[in-house]
Amino acid sequence: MAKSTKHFTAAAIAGAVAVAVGAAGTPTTADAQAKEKCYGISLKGQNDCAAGPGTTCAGTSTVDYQGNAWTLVPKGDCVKYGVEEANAQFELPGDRTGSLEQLDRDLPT
Amino acid sequence: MVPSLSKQQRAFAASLRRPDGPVPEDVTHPGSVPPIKRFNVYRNNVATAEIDALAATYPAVEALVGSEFFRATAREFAVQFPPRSPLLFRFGGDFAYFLSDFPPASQVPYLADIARLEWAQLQAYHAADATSVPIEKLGDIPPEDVGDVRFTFHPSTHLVRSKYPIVSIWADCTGRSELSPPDISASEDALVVRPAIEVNTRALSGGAGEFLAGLMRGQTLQSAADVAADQVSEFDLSLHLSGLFETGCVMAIERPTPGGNR
Repeated sequence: MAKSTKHFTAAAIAGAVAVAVGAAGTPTTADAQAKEKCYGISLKGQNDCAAGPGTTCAGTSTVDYQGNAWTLVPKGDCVKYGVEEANAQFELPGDRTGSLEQLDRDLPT
Repeated sequence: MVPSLSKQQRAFAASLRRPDGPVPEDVTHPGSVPPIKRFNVYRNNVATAEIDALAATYPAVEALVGSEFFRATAREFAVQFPPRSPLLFRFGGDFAYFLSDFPPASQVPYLADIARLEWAQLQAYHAADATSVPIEKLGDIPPEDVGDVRFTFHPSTHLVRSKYPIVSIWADCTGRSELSPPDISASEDALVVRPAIEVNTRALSGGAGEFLAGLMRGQTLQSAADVAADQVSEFDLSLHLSGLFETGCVMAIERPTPGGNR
């Protein structure tokens, strides 16, 4: 391999690492870990998943609020669905609630 | 002599893929309907299933060229590159290669790169799960050694390099971005990784693609940073280092072995 020019001294590398490590801990908006799977809240055809063809997955739910179809929501929000209905975002018709586990309600016939 | 079952099956499958070929000899038919009519229904179902599979894997490509063009292209592709696995989500890995040499698609010069990006996203989805390393671990390395560390990447990590702004184009045509259409003269590399449940796609610029490519080849932090700064003189190491760890693509930090210089 062709040797590239040395742009960074060892001290510069260490300095950059220190800055990067120091900047960590600032929460970022795109934190993938802070999501959870929530069952029973997606409208038909709008469930999440990117498993590709030949899988029973994204956009395949055939009834609204299908109990075994999930969508990703911010962590902690799933249990608010159908409970904190003052917030329109969490409203579900009837006495349905979101669930972290698969449900056996609203399954396609 | 009656041919063996596997031979019969191979002949049957082969004629399914030859749109204008004859019906296999041993296909029988009741009554007056010629077997070719029934067999063509079967042929069409196979082709449609394959085209639908490609459309599911490549929604951005389809959005860019329109459904009609996409389906005609996919039909041609499926004849030349039939599935090699019974798992449908493994079908279509050669689509980018096919598109790069498919004259009717040459008017959309970035089409093949978008296909490479979408394939990387699907591979990332199906890659093994693993735990990412937080950047704090890098702080545990003595400063004098930190330039010599190497990174091991999360199994879902893919780097897709392009001279076109592929991430912006992809985000634009899949409705993920409300920004104005991207500036085609800019270029972007894409980092695709699935640290948890969701596949994340991030645009890399300012030498970050070069940097990550070096690290993924197994270069030390020092050499990868130098290579990146060769390309982009204002390469910001601390910025891109935090960016990299933030995506969760680093799975392990390999410390230099004492005396093991290269």
